Amino acid sequence: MGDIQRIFYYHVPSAFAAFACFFVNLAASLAYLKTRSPRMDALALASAQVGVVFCTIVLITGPLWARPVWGIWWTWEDVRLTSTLLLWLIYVSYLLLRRFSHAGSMPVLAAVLAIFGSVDTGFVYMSIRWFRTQHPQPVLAGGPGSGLDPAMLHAFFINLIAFSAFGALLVWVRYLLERKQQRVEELHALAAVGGAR
Amino acid sequence: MMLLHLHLAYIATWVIHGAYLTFLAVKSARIKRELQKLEEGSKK
Repeated sequence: MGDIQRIFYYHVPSAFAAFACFFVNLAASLAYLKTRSPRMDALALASAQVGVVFCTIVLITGPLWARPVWGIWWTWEDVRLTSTLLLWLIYVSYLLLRRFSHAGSMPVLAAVLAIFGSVDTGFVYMSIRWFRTQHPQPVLAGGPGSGLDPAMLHAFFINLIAFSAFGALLVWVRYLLERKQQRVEELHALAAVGGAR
Repeated sequence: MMLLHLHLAYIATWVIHGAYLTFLAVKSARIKRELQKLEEGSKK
């Protein structure tokens, strides 16, 4: 592939970080449904938002890699590509729901939507194992015949750790911000009750 | 074309992360201001 292959070091770690964020989103959403804890709600929002950022990068770097290698930017017949776009749309709609709905039941609705999103996350991951796709077959944990050249493995793992750590940092910062936002809303509610008296 | 696409992928990645970090900074400043105002108001 030549130099273009180096997109691999951005594309795959971004996809891994996105999957990890969506997994945290699922865990936090389930915990929220069980406990109704605002902390879990804040973590669910933070992880979904950072997951969408990484998923956007995957959807942009993918076609930039595909064009010189496959001769096309995109194909709707590829299950991996289409299901990834669907995943992005599900989580964008999740964020839109959270942004524009002010109903009291919004966090519960968002948590349920997150569970549907997580089903697609699993499908995206498995799609290249279940279907014949234009997208390459898995190079890691893909069974016999798969695997990376040892020269690439080192650089790949450094990027994987760096992107994951950066993703974790972003989720943490966004979580703290959301907790402050919740505090602001609490104080607004207290002020409104005080004003009504 | 290969190098152009490689550079575009790098630039797109860091532009998106840069935009998100800017979004976080702006949001953080706004929440901090609002929280300060509300806490001062509740002390009075």
